[in-house]
Order: sequence, then structure tokens, then C-alpha cells
Amino acid sequence: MLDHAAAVAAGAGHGQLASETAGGIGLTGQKIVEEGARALLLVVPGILRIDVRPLEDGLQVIPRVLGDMPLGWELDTSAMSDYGRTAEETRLPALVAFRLAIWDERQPLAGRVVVSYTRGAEHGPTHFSAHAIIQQVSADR
Amino acid sequence: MREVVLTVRADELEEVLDRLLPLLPQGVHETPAPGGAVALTAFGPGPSLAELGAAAGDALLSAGEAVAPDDPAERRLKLLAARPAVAGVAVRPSGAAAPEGDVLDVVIDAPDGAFGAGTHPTTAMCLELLMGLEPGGAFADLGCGTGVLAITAALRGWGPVLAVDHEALGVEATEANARRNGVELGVVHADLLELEPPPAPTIAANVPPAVHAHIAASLPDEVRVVIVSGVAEEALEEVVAAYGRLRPVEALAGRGWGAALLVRDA
Repeated sequence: MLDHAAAVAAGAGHGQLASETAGGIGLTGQKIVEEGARALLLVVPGILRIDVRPLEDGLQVIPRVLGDMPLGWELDTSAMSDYGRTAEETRLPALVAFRLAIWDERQPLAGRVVVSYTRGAEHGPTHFSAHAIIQQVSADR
Repeated sequence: MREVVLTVRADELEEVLDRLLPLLPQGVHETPAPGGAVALTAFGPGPSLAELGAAAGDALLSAGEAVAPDDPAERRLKLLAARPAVAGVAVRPSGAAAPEGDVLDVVIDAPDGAFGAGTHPTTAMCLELLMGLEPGGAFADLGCGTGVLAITAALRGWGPVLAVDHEALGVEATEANARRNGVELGVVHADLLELEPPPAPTIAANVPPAVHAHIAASLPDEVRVVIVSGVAEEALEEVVAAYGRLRPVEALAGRGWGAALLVRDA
């Protein structure tokens, strides 16, 4: 279900790298996005896409399941810093993290996504760097 | 710089994006278009217009290509100016042309980091609910950002109008935007978690759930109407419930956000 080669191919034009990890897949992606634009940041073909949209003083991270499986998605508030601050307000990249679960009956998936970003001043583009690990879990977990 | 605009049906937006975003690494700007459609604008190189139109499939209503300014700031201004009026109010930066027709013209310049240039879905939903109300009496904009709601209320006839925000940048922007629009506001720099809500009959609160909880718990009896926004769609019901005796009469949702209009029964 988690095909890292397909993720490499799908992400090639999007600054994404992918590899097989123990029981799953590892993804890293990077992109520069203009304010207000919604752009693909990470993708696992047929399973999940994660988009980002820098908006005014904040950020939207938009998960999209590429199938009929229900998605569980929650913000990991313990891993959030400098949300919505510009590079002029903080000299460090801002950080936001999420936990996800995809409820496929045959092979449920669970994962974590970490997105760091820096917004330029005066409505400039936002630098994004993302890292996700998605793993297969047993159906009874 | 190349600019491509595809206008698609809003009810198929996510499916269209499933096919378009992999083709457009730079991403797309979504803008409401007349007739319930959405205009998707992409700047820069990419597949041909025919290929993008084919990817949009049956949801495609129109497609066009133009030359956009190379300067990102000019492109942003152009996009902001192209937004249609929401419920009879057009919010535009001072560099953009005034809207034509019978539309309330609200000029908002948003310094980077200040919330509320009118582009955020929560602001747009507040505007839609606000424009449906009959103006009169005092109005308070809690979490005013750049002052969009307070200024719109003042232009429509509410008064006196109070605007409150905890961000100094937002307070400064609100004061400057009030001058741009020729309205008088009482602008207060304060933490809404430490402030008692003012006894204004109409309040707009575009704030996170924790701030709503504080406002709801200390709401004066004089408050008759509350516009609730700034809340994720799935959290709206719980936030509205905290307002107790105020009854929801209208709810809006979009792009993951929810807003509601609450009224106090006599």
C-alpha cells in the first residue's frame, strides 16, 4: 500500500524525496509558496496529499485523502512554535506538527507530519520544509 | 510572467485540485467567482492551457491565459482587486481601483503579520453575516485585526464602534485604515482574555475558541447579536453552545472554517 517508488515519482517535480522505512514510508519535501496560493507539499499517490497555503498572518495545512478511507488528523500542540510570525518577528523557522491516521480496513496507517516554515516580510513567499513518516499499523491498535 | 486562470464549479473544487496541483508545483490561488464558481489562478511556467483545462475536466467553466506582473507584490494586488464583492461589500487595498456599481467600498491595507485583509475565510464569513444585519447602535469588533469589520460597521451606520485586538500591529493598522475610510473608531489594544466584553448590542468576535469561551462567560445582557467566527468548522457547535441563551439563526462554513450569527431572544 505504501509505495515509496511511486511517491518518489509523484513528488519529483515538487521537491519531495521518499524512501522505505521500517513498516512504512518516509517523506521529505520543500517548497517556496506565494501568499494565498495552495500548493502540494507532500504526496503519497493513491493515499494522501498534504497541501499548504500561507495566509495573511497564518498558515493552512490541508490534508487530503486520495481515496474513500476516513482520515484522522490532529494538531500536535506540543510541537508548535512561532506560528504565524514573520521572519522579522522571529529569526527561527516556525514549526507545526500533526498526527494522522487513515482507517483502511485492510491496512490502517498512522503517521506524523512536521512542517517548518519561514515567511518573508511584506507578504513575501513562504519557505516550507516538511518531514513525514507514515507506517502501517495492525488493525487492532 | 505567465498567468493561467481556470474557472471551475465550486462543488467539484477538491476533485479538480486533485488533478491540477500535481501539475502546478507553484500552487494555485482560489478566488470566488460569480455564480458560485471558483477561479483558480496559477503564475509561472507549466503545462499548456489545453492540458490544464483537460485536467479540470467537466468542472471547467472557462479558461484563459494572460501576462501577469513579474513583481509578486503587483500580482498580489491584482488578485486582491479581482475578488468579487461579498454580500455587497468589496474589501480592497488602497492601491487597487474602487469597485463599480452599488457596492460598499472598504479600503484595507494590511501590514505583514496583521490579520484581516479580508482574504481569510473567517473574515469573509463575518462580512457576509454583518452585511445581513440592520445597522444601529453600538458595535464592537473583538479581535479586529486590521479593522475590516469595525470599519464596515461604521460605514454602514453602526456607532459608536469599538475595535479591540491584542496585537499592536493590528491596532496600528486599524487606526490607519479607519483614517483611510473616513470613519471614527474607538481602538483599544488589549488582551481579550483579560477584558470584559463591552455592552454593545452587536458584537463580532473573530477569535479562537478559548477567547470565545471567555467572551461567552462574561457577556453583558445588553449584547443582543453576536457574530461568532475564527473557529474550525468541527468546533463551531461547541463554541456556539457556550453562548447559552443566544440562539444561532444562521451558520456558514467554508475551507474548514465555520461562523454563526447568534441572537438573544427578547
